[in-house]
Amino acid sequence: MIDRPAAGRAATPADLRRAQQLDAMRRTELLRVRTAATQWRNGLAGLLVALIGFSLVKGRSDIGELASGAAVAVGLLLLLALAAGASGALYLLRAANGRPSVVQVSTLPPGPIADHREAQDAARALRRGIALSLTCAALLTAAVATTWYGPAKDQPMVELTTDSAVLCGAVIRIDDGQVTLRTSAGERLIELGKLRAMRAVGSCPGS
Amino acid sequence: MTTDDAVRNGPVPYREVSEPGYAEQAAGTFVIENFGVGTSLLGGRCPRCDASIEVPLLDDVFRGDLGSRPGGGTGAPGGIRSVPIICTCAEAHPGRPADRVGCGAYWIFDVPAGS
Repeated sequence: MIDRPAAGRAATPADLRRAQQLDAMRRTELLRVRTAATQWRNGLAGLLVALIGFSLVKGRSDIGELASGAAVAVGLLLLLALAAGASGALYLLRAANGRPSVVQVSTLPPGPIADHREAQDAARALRRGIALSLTCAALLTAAVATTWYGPAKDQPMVELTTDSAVLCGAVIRIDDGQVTLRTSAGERLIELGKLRAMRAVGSCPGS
Repeated sequence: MTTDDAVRNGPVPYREVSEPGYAEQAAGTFVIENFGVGTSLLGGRCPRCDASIEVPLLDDVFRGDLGSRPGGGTGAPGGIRSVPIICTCAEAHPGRPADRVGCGAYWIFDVPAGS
């Protein structure tokens, strides 16, 4: 739609300063977004490198020591961190460098409008990139925290059969012909000579 | 001053000035082209140096702290808003400071608030 402006009131020097300020902001808008995106990209990359490369946070070296639920949680957190980090990096690169797209010349708006739209798109991508990068850092921290505070894998359990009973628990020690077993009812001593069968089990009944 | 005058006499020197007839004269040549909500383009001839200029009318502009700031004058939706305009031509005007554009002419336009 094409419209026409009307003559307004008498302009003052304050109007001139305001118009000059806005004109400068519009002219430099795209350049300022690109510069900001480059600086944010470098800063966030440094943050993530510090988190990962310099081992500022470090949990168990082997998540195989974790209980299976916690190990799965760590895996999921790392997967989400990877997805957030990759998406965030792409958004930041898009904000800093633009989209490598080809458009029809007939669809191009006039230069100032095209620059403004690109600046708005780049600013949006920059905000998303920052949010996703910080989310990545948070997920990495959560993954490491889970390896710190997550429950350890249960000790291997054995089921011992004697002449008079079947006992299940974790072996604490074997000494003087006796095996000490930690069961749900407390520690039990069993004469090795009375053992009739022994088998490893994943868990004990009632534990 | 016409383009022919400028060719004959050379460009007018840079001078920050607003004369009573500028807005009326410019209103006769300027048109507003809309490119969506909050994005329009004013195009016409500068009443002082006669250069063809384009002035975007924007609702938002990137500020640098990830926020945005209103880009033009004020006015209720459906009403009229006053927009300060400066000449933004790229022609050479003697005496223009390095951080300025145009010939120095400025005036006020009243435009529909949705522009």
